[in-house]
Amino acid sequence: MRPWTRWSALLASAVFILMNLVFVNPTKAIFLDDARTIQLSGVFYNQVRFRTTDSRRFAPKASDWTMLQHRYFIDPQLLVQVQPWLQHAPFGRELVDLLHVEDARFFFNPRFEYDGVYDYGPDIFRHKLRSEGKPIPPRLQKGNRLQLFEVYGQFQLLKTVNLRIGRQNLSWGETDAFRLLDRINPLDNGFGGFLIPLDERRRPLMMVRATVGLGDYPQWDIYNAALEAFIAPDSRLPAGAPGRTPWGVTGAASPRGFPPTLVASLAQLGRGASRGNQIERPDRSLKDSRWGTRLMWTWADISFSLAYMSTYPDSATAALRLNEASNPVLRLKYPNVQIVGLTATTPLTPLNLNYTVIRTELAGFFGEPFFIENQNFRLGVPIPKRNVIRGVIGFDHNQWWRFLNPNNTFSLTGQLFYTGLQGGVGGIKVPLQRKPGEYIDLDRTSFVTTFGINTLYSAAYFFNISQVQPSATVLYDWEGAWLFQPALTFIRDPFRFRVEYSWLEGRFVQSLGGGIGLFKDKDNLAFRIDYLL
Amino acid sequence: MITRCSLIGVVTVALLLGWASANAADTPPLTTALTEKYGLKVGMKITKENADLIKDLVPEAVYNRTKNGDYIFTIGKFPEPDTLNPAKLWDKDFNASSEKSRGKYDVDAEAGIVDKATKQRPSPMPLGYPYPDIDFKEDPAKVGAKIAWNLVSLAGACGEQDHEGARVVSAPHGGSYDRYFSPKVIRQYVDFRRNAVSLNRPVIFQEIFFFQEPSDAFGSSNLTWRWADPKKWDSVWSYSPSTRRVRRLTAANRSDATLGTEFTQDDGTPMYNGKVEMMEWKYVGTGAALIPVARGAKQAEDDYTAHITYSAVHSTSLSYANVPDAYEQRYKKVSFGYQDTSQKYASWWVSDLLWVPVPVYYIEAMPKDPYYNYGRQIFSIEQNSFSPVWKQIYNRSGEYWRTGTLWAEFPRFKNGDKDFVCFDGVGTVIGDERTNRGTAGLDNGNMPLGKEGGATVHYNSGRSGDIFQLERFLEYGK
Repeated sequence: MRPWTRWSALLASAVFILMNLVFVNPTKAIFLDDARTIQLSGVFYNQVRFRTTDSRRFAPKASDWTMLQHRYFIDPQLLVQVQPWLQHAPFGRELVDLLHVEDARFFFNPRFEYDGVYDYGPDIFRHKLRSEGKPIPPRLQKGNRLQLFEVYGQFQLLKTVNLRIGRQNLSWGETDAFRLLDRINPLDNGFGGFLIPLDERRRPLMMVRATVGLGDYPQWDIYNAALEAFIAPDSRLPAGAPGRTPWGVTGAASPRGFPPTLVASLAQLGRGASRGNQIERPDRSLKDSRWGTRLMWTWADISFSLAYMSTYPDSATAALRLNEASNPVLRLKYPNVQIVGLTATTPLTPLNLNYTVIRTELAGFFGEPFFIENQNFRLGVPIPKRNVIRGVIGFDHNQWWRFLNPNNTFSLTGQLFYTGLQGGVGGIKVPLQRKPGEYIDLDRTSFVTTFGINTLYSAAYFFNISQVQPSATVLYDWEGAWLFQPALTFIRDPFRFRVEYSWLEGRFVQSLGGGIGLFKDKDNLAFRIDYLL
Repeated sequence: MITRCSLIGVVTVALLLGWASANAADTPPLTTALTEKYGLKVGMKITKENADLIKDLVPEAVYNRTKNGDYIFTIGKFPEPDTLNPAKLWDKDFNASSEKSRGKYDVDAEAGIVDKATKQRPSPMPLGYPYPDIDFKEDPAKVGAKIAWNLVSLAGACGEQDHEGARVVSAPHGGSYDRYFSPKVIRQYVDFRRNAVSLNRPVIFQEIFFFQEPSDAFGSSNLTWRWADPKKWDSVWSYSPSTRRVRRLTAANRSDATLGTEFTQDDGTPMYNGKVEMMEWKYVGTGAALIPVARGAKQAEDDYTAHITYSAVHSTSLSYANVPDAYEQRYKKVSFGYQDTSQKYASWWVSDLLWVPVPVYYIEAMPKDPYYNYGRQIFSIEQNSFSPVWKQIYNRSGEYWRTGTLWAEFPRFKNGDKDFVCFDGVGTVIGDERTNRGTAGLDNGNMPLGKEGGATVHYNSGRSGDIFQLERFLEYGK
């Protein structure tokens, strides 16, 4: 996208928002036709974050109260019920009858994002739009993205089959914040923030997803049995912001002769340095497709799911390889990972804890890639792989504290994540230097705890101006790091205004399941305003 | 001999008089008689100046609001004084089935229905009132539960209800609303329906609650299964688009405020949309109350006839073109306080409803679940039809909290030789006396926007029970 195009897009977006503010208010319907078959919806927000602490350690120097992020997010969504139209198409009625089409819909969701920090943020992150007199290629204009997010068609056929075909997100499992079975879609790490809803982070994949109802089996007290399967022949991988970003974690610089294996391998090749990085993507083929299947059922009021999937990791593992020109490159590898998992969730009604739901998830990750310096940086040696067990037990509980809020419950949620590496851990490191020449160690097991609480106050308690939702979230990595995130959200349709503070502290270490301490200089205060269409 | 004949004569007369008086006591007064008794006149406006006229016909909180000028009433009349008499109101099938249930069922200690002969919970329950012949000399707990069951049996006659896009708004006393949501609601009644539905699970009611607006709730949905087993809590699942996963909820969540309004899912049709067995019921007594009825969309301003039942048309939506028995709710004329150019009444109040005095039963409900949002609730239920009228809500500390009403309709539809009459609560108003705010909701979701037409409700939609499976429920999410 050229600079003028970008500014045009920004201007168009601003005009669009302005037009909505002027002409669309909450008393206007968003169905575009009388038959209510076309529904337009959307979320637009603008969020600015200021860092509240100076950058520390090896991170690019930035002082406190400078901009960390200025994010514009425009997310219109169009949902079209195709079924009524289908019946009027030539042979449509016959097709509907033949396939017992009960529901057909089309979903279209473009998304525009822009982060102003690269244009008018601190100098160190400001992106020069021209380099050596030439425009920087669009992919490096990292603050500006327009993408076709989700676009899919969905059909309910033959009474029990539901098909969704197109670019889409799919989530399995029972966890919040961290992903266990929810590893179907890659994540977008191109923008920063902590505890961002995963749905904003997921990268949709071209996918065919089918769900088949298997019915109820009252003789065994089994209900809601269903089988779901997906296949995603898509080469998309996790995305990051290329180049320097205020959210990046920087380790110590390598001293001379470090890392020794890499230096030795390059010396053996007669090269002083590798020729950059090269991402190893899966092919768009059946062989390289992500795919999976899960069986769901409810027994004795416990909802179960048993899942298997073939997918790719959330982050790359670097390995020294030769490119086609026989030059050494650091190949960023995303080897295929197999995951098998079981989830179970139930309300604790039998114990008269009527407001408490317990959820558990246990998953085995097979063939997860790791970093061992003298393997990854040695030519001809495969990268090390290990199996990893991950588990979580969590609860969701609604509690009345009527002396604090007589109208609504407090919603409490907690999770304990366990990660255990199987097999030998000798030599496994995090490829980030906590001191010059010293990689971060990786322990065999790790625990991370999350806890959240929120409630909603009637507008009557705030001068009838808006409802107020206070919330607080704590994330504690047992390695010795935490995130504390209190927030206050003001709700008056169609607007939301949120003030959020993220306080991070802890050791500059990373565990298998955590690592929040690496971001300990990213404390920030955020202000966000949403407009809902 | 003369003495013997006299004795027989006296006894006979006494028996006849006794029967007549007993019968008279069982027959609820006509609406016309109540109108006259309370000094009301059709077309009369009840404002703060003459609010005393309705003091005994509305809950105290509503009377106080009327005295303050927050609420206004327009007195209407039914097409006939006994419009709500079941023999006139319902179709032949409904009345015949109710008759078959006469004396057949009892309630157990859990307030559940049991067949007197088998001592088992029949499933599914047949069409009609399960207790058409309530003996008011019974334990008030039993009487209360029976009235509650008659209340929840009404909507079963619809089979399925597809609400396309109701709109619920929450507002302060003055000014426009500041919070709203628009749900698409699909309900299937397994008990009390006309035709059996093929289902393997022993449930009596299923519901999907899908949020269409506001945008940050778009794609969220709830699925509820209500089990026939009186001791088994509802199974509830929710789907959140922000996490894209199904999460278990507890049945108690149905009494939480929905998206910050004064409305909870259990406030839905028929004014108590929870599980009967989850409450301890108690019959309190009888009285009279004003029942609300909405005007038809084209009804003249000076026409005060309260058409609580009307001939509906076949569903006009293309989605029901192949469902011959599907019919749709009529459009109405309803305006809310916040829609007035110069606001005169409380924002959530509907100023153009017609109100007809009807005889009511009062029953109390106390939740068995200590975490239930509400404390004691007092329902007033119309004596002939068991239609809901008012609901008074106390908080868990016993303090008065909210007053709600739900206005209902009995749409009629004829397809060939088949007659259908159904019941549905089409709108609600809930005033919060502690925060001086209120919530109003309407099935015709365009009306709160000041527009005509648009979303309505389809009855007898012929949906199979399979749609209430978890995997089908997912399709309603993003």
